[in-house]
Amino acid sequence: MLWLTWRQHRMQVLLTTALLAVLGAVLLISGLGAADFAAQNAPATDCVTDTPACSAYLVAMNERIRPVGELLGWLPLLAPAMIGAFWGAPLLAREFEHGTHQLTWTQSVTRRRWLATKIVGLGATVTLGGLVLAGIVNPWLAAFDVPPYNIDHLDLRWFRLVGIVPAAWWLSAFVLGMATGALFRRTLPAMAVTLAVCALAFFGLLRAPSFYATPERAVQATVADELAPEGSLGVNDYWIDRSGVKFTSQERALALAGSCGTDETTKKYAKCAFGHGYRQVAEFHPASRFWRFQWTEAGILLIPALVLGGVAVRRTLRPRI
Amino acid sequence: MTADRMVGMFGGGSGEFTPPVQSPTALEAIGLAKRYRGMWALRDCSLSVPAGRVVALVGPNGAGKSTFLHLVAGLIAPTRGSVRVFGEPVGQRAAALARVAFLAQDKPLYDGFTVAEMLRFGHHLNPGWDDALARQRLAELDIPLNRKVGKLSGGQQAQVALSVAVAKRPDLLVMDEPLANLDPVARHDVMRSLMAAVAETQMTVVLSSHVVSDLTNACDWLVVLNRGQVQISGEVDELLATHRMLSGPAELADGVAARMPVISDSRSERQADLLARTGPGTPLHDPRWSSSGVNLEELVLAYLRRPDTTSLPRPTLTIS
Repeated sequence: MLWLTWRQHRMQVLLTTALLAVLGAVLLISGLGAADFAAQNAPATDCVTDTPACSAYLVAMNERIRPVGELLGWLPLLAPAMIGAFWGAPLLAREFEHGTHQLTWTQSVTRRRWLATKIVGLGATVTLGGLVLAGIVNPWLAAFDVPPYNIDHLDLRWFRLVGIVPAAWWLSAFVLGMATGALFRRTLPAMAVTLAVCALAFFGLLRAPSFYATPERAVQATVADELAPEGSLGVNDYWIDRSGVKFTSQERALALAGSCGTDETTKKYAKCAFGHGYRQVAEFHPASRFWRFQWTEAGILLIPALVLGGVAVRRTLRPRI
Repeated sequence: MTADRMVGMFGGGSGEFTPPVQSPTALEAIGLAKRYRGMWALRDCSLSVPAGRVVALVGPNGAGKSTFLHLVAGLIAPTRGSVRVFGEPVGQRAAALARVAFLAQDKPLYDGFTVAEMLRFGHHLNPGWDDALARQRLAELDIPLNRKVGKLSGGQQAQVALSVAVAKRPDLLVMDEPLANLDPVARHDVMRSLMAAVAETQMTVVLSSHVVSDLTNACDWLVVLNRGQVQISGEVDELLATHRMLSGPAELADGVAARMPVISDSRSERQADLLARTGPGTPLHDPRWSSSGVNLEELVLAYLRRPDTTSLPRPTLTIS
């Protein structure tokens, strides 16, 4: 049975492995370059004031991470969609379409065992693939995470490329594809529906992590207060006056235009605003919530996918054609 | 289980020369019915076929042949009734699956596999796989093992599918329209190679067709399905021996028809031709009547035109 699974799906396995290898090579080169650059050019760690050396370093690191980062930015959408369409959808749909289920299900292996081997074998491979992706992105990010340049794993640019979330997306997409294949019994419609659902899920969940918990709230206590700790995921930023009324930056600027002037970037302005009782408020998720959010997103994806997968498996095992 | 196995072993060697009483039942359907979306594809289908037979399952399109065969192969479950193969219920259990091989209508194979990989598929999925048999068959047919299945001709694909089914070493081989979509030469070759396999392995075979002439020489048991019901089930020789075409004066036809079941009745002004089931107790003495044998095609056609008539085995005493 394992041989059959491998024989029927080796193209997908080999292609995915090859793409991961290429990505790994790209990230290795980029990461080594960044580590080298950081080792030579990183200024002294306390870059509290904006010295030219500090900003030059930050700009240079940004320039380095951007092209590869943009490439990686597509992966959370593309990779699950491809996994769903090419690993999941054909799994059952192709058999039904070509009538080969009538051949395979009348050999001496039960339908249950056949299906279990395929789903468990391919599902495990897909999960492993997602973990490998996270495993090669993680050290690449670490190469850039040289102070004062700072990489936050909770940052939504990286959140779906590290930890268990890629694996959860890949596995759910695979199960989704398998289920649509079982329900539609034709490969192309199953692929199309899988792609559409993957895209919907991606755009639907794009900003969702902000809502995975009630954000923490910090109110400015001194003029120079840094509200959200390093590495946190910002949710909302606003101002309140003495009576607690909310102000956006623009509204505050308008209210203070007479007394504090218009140049909001100066320290004098900040002091003036503070003196008038305006306090900055930040709502954010601290970096410590990273794993909690990872598991939350994994649950949001996997629970519906597994329910749908269960329905599809039941339908397939029921001897009715 | 052990007892069934033993019965199977005795039955396996019996072949067509053993009297039916001693052969175990290879295939037994009791009150079998299948409904799809409110439509009965098969209703109240009961029949029993002894082991070692080559069974022709014939009937018009839509008679329920495929449904019946899918039920026997365990691909679908009946709405009512049951099917047993060598006394064991069919279905998706490994032990039941191993005894029945099924060749579906389009002879599905994995097109991207080479012939050798199809054999490997059979080897991996069947504990009783007879690799030597499969390779020998394919070598005799000059089918290259390294060729992709999708690149073979229709006849060669049918042969590969048949080889995979036979090398499983089933007790019962079920084939749904195995000769459909084949050219006359391929039909002949497939049929000959099937009969060689039957002779070698002594398995029971059920094959369906809507063309009776395809099966006349190969089969020794006939089952006619019509409108979802079994119309005939019996040994071919016996059916041919008990059905006669009677020709005589039209004015006497009613008298003759009253004495025996008439399947088809065509009368002109003077002459009547009656296809009748003539039991041993109903000889025809009147010299004005002539009696001639019928062939299988005429017999089937006559029955299919009269869906209300049936010819099922008489109740017989069997020792069980």
